[in-house]
Amino acid sequence: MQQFSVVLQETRKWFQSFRLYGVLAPFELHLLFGALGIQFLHELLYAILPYSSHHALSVIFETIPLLVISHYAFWIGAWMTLVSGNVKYLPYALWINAFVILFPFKNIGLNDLVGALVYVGLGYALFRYTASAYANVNPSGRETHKF
Amino acid sequence: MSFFDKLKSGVAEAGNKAKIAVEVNRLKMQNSSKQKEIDQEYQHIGKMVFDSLERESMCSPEQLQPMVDRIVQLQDEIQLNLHQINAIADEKKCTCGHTVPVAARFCPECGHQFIEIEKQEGDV
Repeated sequence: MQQFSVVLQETRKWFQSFRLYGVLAPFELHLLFGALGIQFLHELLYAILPYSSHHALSVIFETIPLLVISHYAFWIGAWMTLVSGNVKYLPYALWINAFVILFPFKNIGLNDLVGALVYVGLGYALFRYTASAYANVNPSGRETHKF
Repeated sequence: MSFFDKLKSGVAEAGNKAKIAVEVNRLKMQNSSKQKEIDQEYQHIGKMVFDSLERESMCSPEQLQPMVDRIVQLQDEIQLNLHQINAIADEKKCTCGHTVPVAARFCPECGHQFIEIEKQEGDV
């Protein structure tokens, strides 16, 4: 875990060399959980709305590529959160992602199951890391970025 | 208060509760890891005592002292985490073991009165 902590510190230093990181850093949790919210909304609307609405949903989520944007926003938010003091929230985001993969729990194939299990495992490993003495966790949960 | 104001305050309240839950879970996980380390140290001590008895000799306290010190240190850290959890969650523990809100003056389980030390104005 100490080696992982060192890797994260060096990764953060590398990220800080990019100006875009400074612009996006205050919004890392918004990117992370906002992306999950959009992905869940996509699954929920397709599950509850009738087939006649699917064209409208397709325009919102595919033509305006809201789903693809949310997919990349999740990964950007996840990497930025991983190297910051807010890393303690990332396991929960990974578990919520596993839930979103399985939702609405119909026609669950091996593909979805393996994906969800991977995210659950990664979330648990990260949860144990954040509870260790090596994690750079900000107890107050406030932003820790200093430039 | 308008609907959006209520929504904003509700979201802020949910966010605060989520932060508290995340921090409490992290401290509980820390305690769980420390407890496992204590159990490993107990096993280690037990193995050393068994090996020494098998050789018909007694292991000296100096051999066991580092492990004992480590166990005591971990127990202190666990207690500190428990106090932190109670502070974050605005709770306190009664002598009977029941958890009550920090502002409570009596325990609803056993009736124990929490003595509050009131700060007088002008006290040094």
